[in-house]
Order: sequence, then C-alpha cells, then structure tokens
Amino acid sequence: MNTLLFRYVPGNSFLHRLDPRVKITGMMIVSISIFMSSSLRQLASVALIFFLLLLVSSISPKIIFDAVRPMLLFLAVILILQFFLMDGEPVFYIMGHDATYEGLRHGVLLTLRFLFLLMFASLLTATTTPSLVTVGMERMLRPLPLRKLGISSFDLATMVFLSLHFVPFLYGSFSHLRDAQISRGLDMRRNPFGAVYSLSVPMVRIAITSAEEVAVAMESRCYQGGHRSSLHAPVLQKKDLAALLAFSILVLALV
Amino acid sequence: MSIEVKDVTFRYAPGTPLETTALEGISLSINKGEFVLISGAIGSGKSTLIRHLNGLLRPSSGQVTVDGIAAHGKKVKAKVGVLFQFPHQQLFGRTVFEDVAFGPGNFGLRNPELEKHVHDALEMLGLSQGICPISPFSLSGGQKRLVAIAGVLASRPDYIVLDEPLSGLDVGHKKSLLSALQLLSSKGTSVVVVSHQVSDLLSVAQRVFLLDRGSLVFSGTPAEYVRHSPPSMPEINFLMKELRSRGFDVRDDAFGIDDAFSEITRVLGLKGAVEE
Amino acid sequence: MIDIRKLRYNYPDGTLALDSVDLHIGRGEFLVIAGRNGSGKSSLVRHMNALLLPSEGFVSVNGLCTSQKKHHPDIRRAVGMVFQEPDSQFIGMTVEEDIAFGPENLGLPSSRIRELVDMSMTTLGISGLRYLSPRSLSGGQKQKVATAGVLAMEPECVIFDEVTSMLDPLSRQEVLGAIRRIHAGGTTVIHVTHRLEEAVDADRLVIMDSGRIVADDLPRNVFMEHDLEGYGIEMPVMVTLSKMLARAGFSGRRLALTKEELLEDICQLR
Repeated sequence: MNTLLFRYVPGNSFLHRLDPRVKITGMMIVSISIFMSSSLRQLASVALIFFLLLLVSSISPKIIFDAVRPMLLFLAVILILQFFLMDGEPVFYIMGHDATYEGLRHGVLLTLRFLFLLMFASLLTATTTPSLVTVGMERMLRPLPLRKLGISSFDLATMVFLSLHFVPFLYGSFSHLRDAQISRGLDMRRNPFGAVYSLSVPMVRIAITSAEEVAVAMESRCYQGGHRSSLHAPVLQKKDLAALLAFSILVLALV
Repeated sequence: MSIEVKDVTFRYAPGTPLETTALEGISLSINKGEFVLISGAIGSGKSTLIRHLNGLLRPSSGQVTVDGIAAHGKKVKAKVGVLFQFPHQQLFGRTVFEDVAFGPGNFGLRNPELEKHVHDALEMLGLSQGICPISPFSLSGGQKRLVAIAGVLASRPDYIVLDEPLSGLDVGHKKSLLSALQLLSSKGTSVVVVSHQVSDLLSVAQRVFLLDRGSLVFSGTPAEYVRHSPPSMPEINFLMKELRSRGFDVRDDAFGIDDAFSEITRVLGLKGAVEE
Repeated sequence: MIDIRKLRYNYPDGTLALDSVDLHIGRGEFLVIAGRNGSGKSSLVRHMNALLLPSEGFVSVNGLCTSQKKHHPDIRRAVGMVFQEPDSQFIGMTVEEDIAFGPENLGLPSSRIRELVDMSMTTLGISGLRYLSPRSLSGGQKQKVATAGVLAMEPECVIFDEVTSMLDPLSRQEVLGAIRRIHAGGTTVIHVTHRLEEAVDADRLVIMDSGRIVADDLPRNVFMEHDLEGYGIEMPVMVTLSKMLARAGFSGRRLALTKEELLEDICQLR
C-alpha cells in the first residue's frame, strides 16, 4: 500500500515543469493559510485553489483520493472526538457525553484542514519526483549555516533520500522474516516475548547488513559526501517567479 | 494423507489499482513421502504458492487442505515445515541449539525429546553436535543455511517445503543437503523443493510441477518434464534434443549426466560404456 | 591496468582472507574469478576499487596505489562494481535517478549527466524502464539497471561480483549477454561467479581457495589440469561429459567446453 501514498505520477503539465523550490514555497504558503483559516468560507477558497491546481496538473483525482484514503479513518476519529469533547450547546446525548454544535464545527474545520494539507502534499509529490524534492530542499537549505553543525545540505538531502529508500526495503524484509518465524510455530499472541526476541535480533542484523551494503555501493560509485551535482538542475525562470507571485496573491486574496 | 490444493486463485491488493493475480486456478496434490519439485521463473508464483501450503496466505478463491484439515490454523504449521529463501536471515538464538529448538519448542516439545530432535536434525545434515553451544552467527554461510534447515527438520514435520535451498551452496553442502532430503522422503516425509535451478533436482524428484505467470502449465515425472522441453530445462537436455534433431537415436527423456553419457555411448557404440 | 602484488588481507576480526595474492590484469581482458563461498574472491575484487585496503602488499590501478586515499575517486571511477544483491545497491527512486547517482557524485553538469544516463540505458536496452522504481523490476532487469549505473561513470573496467547468482536461467542469459556486449565494447571485465559454465568464453580463469590463487590460466587448461571439485566448485556439465566420453575411449581433438563444441565432436565421431 505504501506505494500509493505520495506517489510520483509522470507528466508534463505546467505544474510538473515548475521549479521544485517554487512548489515547496507554495506548499508552505498554502499550509500557513490553511492553519490560519478559521471559517468554512476560507476553507472553501482553499478547496477552489486546490481544484484549480489539480486541473492545471492534469493529475487524476483518483490518485489524490488514493493518497488520502489511508488517513480517512484517522480523520474520522478526530472528527468524532471533537464532536463529543468540545463544550457547548448540546445537539444530542450519548453514553454520558454531549455532542455539541461547537464540537461539530470545530471537528469539521480541523479534519478539513488536515485533509487539505494531505491533498496539497500529495499534489506536490505527484508532480515532483522525490529526487527533485530533495534537490529543491537541498538548494533551499544551502544558505543556512548547517556547516557549523558539521553537516552539509548535501548530506541532509541524501539522508532524507536514504530514509525514503529504506522504509519499504526494511518493511519487505520484516514481512519475509515474520513469515519464516510464524512457519516455525511462533504465536505472536501467546508468546509475545518470543515474538519480540525472534524478530528483533534478525531484524537488527538485517538493518545493519543492508545499511553497510548500501554504504559500500555508494562509496563504490564515488560518493564522498560534500559537493555533488544533480541530474536535475532546476533553474529559476521568470515564469517560476511569476507563478509563485500569482499563487501568493491568489491565496492572500481568497483566504 | 496429502496436501490438496484445489482451484486456488490468489490476488494481491484486491480492489486497488495495484491488484495483481499471483495464482490462477491452481490444482495439485502432494502425497505422503513424495519428493516434489516446483519449478518456474522468478515471479511465476512459486513463493505465493508455498505460502498457501502452511496457511500464511489464504486463497482468494479455492481451498488448500493438509491431511483433510484447512491449511490455516496452527496445527497445520506443525505438519508443514516451510523454509524460505535466505534462511540464514532468520537465525536469532544465542546458540545453535536454542535456534534449532525454537520451532519444536513452539510446537510444545520439551526435554528430553526436544534435545533428541535437535541432535537428530543436525546429524542428518552432517553437522557435528559440537556446534550446539556456539553462536550461529560465527558459522560460515553454508553452515548457517544448514542450521536454519535443521531448525525446520527438528520439528519433524510430515511435509517439508524448501524455497531455493541450493542457491549459493558449495558442492559439498549441496550434496549433504540433497542426501538428507532423499533420506527424509524415503522415511515417509514429503519433500517439496521450490527452485528455478532444476538440474540438480531432476534426478532426485519423483514429480515436477511447472508454474508460469501464476498458472500450472505442467505436471508429471522428471522424464516427462524434459520431454515437455521447457525453456528452463537443464543444458544437458538441450544437447540431447539437438543430437536427436541431427539424427542420433538418443532417448528424449534422459536426464542427468550419467543417463546422457550412457545414451551417447550407446548410440556411438563406444567401448567401456558400462564403466561409468 | 590492475596490478596486485603480495597482497595479504585480514578481516577486522583477524582471520586471514587473502594470502600472498599476485595478479596482473591487462586492459580489455575478460577475466573470470571462481571459488567456493569464503574462498576470498569477493575480498579480492573489493581491493580492485579500493573498497578494501591491503593489510600487506600493494594494489595499483592505472599506476595509482589504492592505499593513498586521494586516489580513491579516480580509482573508483576507473573501476566500477556491480554487486550480488541488487536491492541494497539502489539509491534512486526511479531507474533514471539511480543511474545518475554516480555521475552526480563526480560533480558533472546536468546536461552531461543526462547524456551519460541515456547512453548507458541504450547500451543495456532498458530505456523503457526510465521512470519505474528499481524495486518493481525483475531480477534480471535490476542487475541491468545496476550495471547501467556503473557504465554511466564511463569506467575502464567493470567488476561483476556474483551478479548472476540470484537469477533464474533466462534472466541469467540476458545479463551474461549484456556483460559480453560491454566487454566487446572494449571495457575490461572481471566476472566473479561460482558457475564455471559462465567462464568458458573468458580470456582467463582464476580459481581461488582459502584466500590464495590456486589456478590462473586459459579456461580450457584449468578444466584439464585441475580437480575443481576439491575446491568446492562444479565443472561445467559439458566439460564433465566430454571428460567422461574421453575416458570411455572417445578421443576428441580437445576438451569440449560448450554444448556446441561437444555436439560438433560427437557428430564427427559418427
């Protein structure tokens, strides 16, 4: 399932071709405005902006829905909790708790905010390859005095990249290992200690070994830390800046 | 007494855009004491199939039974021992003994039987009992593999399923593993070996199943398998096939080097043909 | 281009991995190194691009000594390595980005990187996989992507460290075909394997056992003069059959190495 979440969808739309830094900045502006919006009217404007962008990106709404779907249950829980836990004018009463009108309003606003954040984030990753996201981040972090902390923006970008890479790999190894131990009669419920022991010891070894293997493979391909170039060399063009300016004005005007 | 796979279809991630059919209408049975080879290219569904034999996966449709019992459920895991690929990765015990005893211990075996089962399993694979108290991580790659196999044998399952057990083993370890498996099958344990590398296994298997893109495309004896001439058959059978096409009257179901040798010397009328 | 003299290497835990190894590899050679697990073949090739450094003796690549750290980038650029386990050598999220990783480390401009990526994808016939995730590919495709990632650095020599051992017979043939094409293009190729049938068309076959080189000759000579089972490796099945036939009174012109040679010999005998 994790391949559906924040998946890149190849394409050649205006949004795809936009500089990653512009998209990341736009994402930050829109996130701030989402969190500052306090009425349904403002969130409706956010929705309008989203659908405009979706139209420009020519990404199928199904992709966005697939990315959001795993979170729906979580959002529903937030909504229900808000509904019941907020003080205010009761709407109805169930199991010793008042469901309040204020709770409903608050819950809806909160879940919609999360929902829109997720939708914008998945639109960003659907139109930007992970490495362009990292290159964009790396370029934006470069002016910061990270050197003083002993790391370069390149190291940081590579770290982000490697963690994106490792999660599915370790997950695959883990399910393989779990199958093997269950086949040897491991009963996770009846023997939780045995489960933790027989899964964690090999898992730590697998993680260490594969980390070493990746490190050797990287070294063998001349990775030295420090300066690297990139297949993608985003160059800020006038159209990128114009797009960012137009987007900011749109967001400020509507929200 | 057998494993019965009836019209099994399995889909990964059903109902999502990633839905893929891994197995399609597979029916087969594995009898008591039989030595079975399941072959097929990587991605042909072999690994998915064996996860059905001890109930790790449940079919999307169709059913799997082991000695008449549905394959999911804990009892079946004691009957069907499965060893997956890269088995050295599953080792975790502080000592070889602890690791090998993990399976039988989970199935409720206690000392002194437990100890006997562990020792017997190690002995069958040609490992000395001297390695019991040492850490499995200090062993060589081949020994680690054999210890992991012992971990499955020690539960004394009625059916043992091994996924690519020979890949990367040295000649010596390969021979001791193959003879242990033959011994087991002669004593009544069913042995199922899953492999895309068939040349070492055709001479020991009694029956061969061939999977291709999730479907069972062949089932029969090793001799029938080479006569079927799948693209993955051993190189020596390609030689025999070409000899036939050039008019040599060699049998088309010869497999293994000794068979091929006696066929070639027979048609050439060479002296000393019986010697090898 | 690679010169190894009196090389001795101890693992960090002190056990001896390589002992007095002497090996000289010339430009454009196709060399196969075989031996059982733990015979030292992987440790040996890891000295050839400075992933391991000698405990004693010395290794040089194009005259650059591997013990000097400042030479490592040049050495690793000249000698690339493809590993056995494809999944743990991928660094990119898409095939294209993974192949670009090496050239990116060399600090090349992005237009040049794109040229190199396109060139090596064409050489391996994987241009259609450009935007796919390397993990979603079959074993054979994975090894081709890994090979393309090395080729994109324009190495003079490529080491294939047991790249075929996890593959099924058909994908193995495809990857071996790619290796042969790379050699035919003038690149030095070092192929580590424990399947000797992959060595029959090599220029040279080196056998290792317990950290030492025990044979180094034309494959035909190695097959004739050595008892390879004693070193834990199997003779190619055609060679064994050819030897059995010779012992049974069939005196072929020479030891047959491949199915084609054996077929030809048998036909002549009719």
